[in-house]
Amino acid sequence: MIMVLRKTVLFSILVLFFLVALSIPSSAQSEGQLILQTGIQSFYNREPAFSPLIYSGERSLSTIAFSLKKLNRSDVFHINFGYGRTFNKFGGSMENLSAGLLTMTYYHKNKSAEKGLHWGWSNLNGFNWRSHNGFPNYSLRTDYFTAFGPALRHLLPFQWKKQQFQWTNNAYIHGVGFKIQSDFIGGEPRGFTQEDRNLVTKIWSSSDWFLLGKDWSMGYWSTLCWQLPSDNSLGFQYRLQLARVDGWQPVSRVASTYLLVLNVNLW
Amino acid sequence: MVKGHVRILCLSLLVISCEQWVISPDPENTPEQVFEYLWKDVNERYAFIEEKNLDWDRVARDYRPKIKQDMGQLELFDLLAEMLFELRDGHVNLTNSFNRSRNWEWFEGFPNNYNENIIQENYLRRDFWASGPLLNQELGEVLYVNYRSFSQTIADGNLQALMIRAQEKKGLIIDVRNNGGGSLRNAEKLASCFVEEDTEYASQRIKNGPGRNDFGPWESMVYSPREGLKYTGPILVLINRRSYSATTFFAQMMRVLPNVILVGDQTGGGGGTPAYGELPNGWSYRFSVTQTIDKDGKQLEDGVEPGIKVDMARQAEINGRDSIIDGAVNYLENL
Repeated sequence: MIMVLRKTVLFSILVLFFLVALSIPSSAQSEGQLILQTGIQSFYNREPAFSPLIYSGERSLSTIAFSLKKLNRSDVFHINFGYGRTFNKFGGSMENLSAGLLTMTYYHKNKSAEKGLHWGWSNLNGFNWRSHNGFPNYSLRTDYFTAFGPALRHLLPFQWKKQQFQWTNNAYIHGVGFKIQSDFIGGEPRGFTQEDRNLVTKIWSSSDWFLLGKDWSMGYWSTLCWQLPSDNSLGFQYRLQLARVDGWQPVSRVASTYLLVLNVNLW
Repeated sequence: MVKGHVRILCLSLLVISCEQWVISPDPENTPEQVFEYLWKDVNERYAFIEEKNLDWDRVARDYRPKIKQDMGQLELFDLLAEMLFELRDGHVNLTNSFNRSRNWEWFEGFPNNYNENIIQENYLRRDFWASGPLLNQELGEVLYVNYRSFSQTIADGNLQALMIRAQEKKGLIIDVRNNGGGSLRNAEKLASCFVEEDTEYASQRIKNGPGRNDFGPWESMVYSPREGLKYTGPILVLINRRSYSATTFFAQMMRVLPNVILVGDQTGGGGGTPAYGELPNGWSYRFSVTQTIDKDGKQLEDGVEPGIKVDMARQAEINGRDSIIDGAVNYLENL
C-alpha cells in the first residue's frame, strides 16, 4: 500500500512539473504562481460494506498547487493529500486516506482576469482508501474516479486599511467520468483478481461510468488572501466538498476543510 | 459585482444543501432496525444459505414477531444470537461489550481425541524444542511437531530449524488437533516446507452481489514451496473435530500431497472466510462470505476427511498414552 501511495504521489508531482514545463514557453504572456496549503479537515464518510454508521473525525489535508494565468484563461492544478482516523458514535474506527489531482480552468476573454465572474470546467482524479481497524478480514476498501464538469469562480479584490485583499469563491460540480471501486465484499475491484487478464484489461473491465445523479462530486471553496509587500500573498480558505460514488456498496463523503494558504509568485 | 456574488452564493447554498443527499443521518438504533439490518445483511452476503438449505425467510417470519420496541439489550442480544445460531457456522459471531455469541456444534458431541496434558508430559516432555510456535520432539526415528494455533506467527528461522531436524528422520508427525485456526498465511508457510512446486489444493469463490447465488468465479488456491530446506519424506497429519478454519485449509493443503496421510477424525470445517459488519447499535458481527471446495467439489465448510479414521483409545489415555500418536510413530517407523 505504501509503495502504491509513494508511486501515486511521485506520479502526481511529475504531472505537476510536466504541466509547469509546458507553460514556461508562454511565460512572457502569463503569470505563474505556486500555492501551498495545509490545514484541518472535518471528514464524514459512510462505507456500507463496513457499517451503516457514519464515521467522522479530523484529518490533515495538504495541497500543492500551480496556477497559470494567461490573457484569456487561467488554469489551476491542485495535488491534494489527506489522512486521518475517523470514528463512529460507538467508538469503532477506520483509517482514511485521500489523494487527488484537481484541475480548474476558467475563461476570461474580454474580461479582467483579476476580478468578476469566470466560467470554466474542472476535472478531479480522486483516490480514496479506507481500512477498518476492527475487522481482520475484508477491511480494505478503495475507490477512484475521474470526472469532469463545469466550474465557476468569482474574484473580488478590495482594500481595507490601506492593505490589498482578494476574496475568491470557487464552485464546481462533476457530471461525467469513470470510476473504479472495491467489489461487493472484496477490496479489489471486480475482475482484478483474475490472473489470466493483463492490467489494462482488468482496469477496462472494472471501470464504470461516473454519472451525475447516481454519483456526486461537488465543491465550494472560499478564500480570503492578503497581499504581502513581497507581492506574494497569505490567506485562509474554507472548502466544502461532497462526493458519492455509487456501486455495489455506495460510499459517501463530506469534508469541511480550513486551510492556511501561501501564494508565491513564480514569474 | 453584486450579481456575481449572488450567483456564487446560490451555487454554494446548493452545494451545502446537497449534503443530506450525499450522506444521510445514522439509521435509528431501535430493536426493529437492528434486527432488520442484520437479517438483510445475512440474506445478501452469507455464502451458505443455499448450500445448507437454510430457509432464511422462515427465520425472518419466526423471529420478527419476537422483536419488541421496549426490549432490553440482553434480550435483543440473545434473540439475535439465536437467529444467527440457525446458520450452524463456527465463523458466525455477534459481539458487543458484554458477550460474544458462537456456534460450537462443529465439535460438540464428537470424541475429543486429544489430551494436551498427556502430550506435554509423555511426548513433548521437558526437553522439547520450541521452534517458535512449532513445538517439536524426537520420538524414536520420527519427529513429532505440535502446532496449537495458526494465529501464532511462524518465522522462516522456525521452519529452517524444523527442516534441519526432520532431514534425518524416517517420518514426520504434524499434530494440529485442537488447533482452532488463525491465519491462512501461517498455514501456507508451514505447508510450503513439503512441496517442490506450486501446488493447487482448492478453489474459492466470494459473494459478489446480494442474490443468494451471486458469486464471483471459482479461483484456484495455490501454495508455493519455501526457499531452502524442504521435507518430502512420509508425513502423518493428526486432525480432529476441533481442527477448524485455517487448520481445515492446512489439512486440505497437505491432503493433496502423495506422501501425506491425514489421521484421526474429520476437521470441524470453517471453509468460508468471514467478513465483518456493524449494526446500527454499534455491535459487530461476522459470517462467512466465501465458499471453498476441494478438487472433487466437496465443500471445506463440511470438514476435511482423514485418510485413516481413528479415535483415541480410552484405556490408553487412562494409562497416559495417546494411541493416535503411538500408532503414527509405529506406522512411520515400520515403513
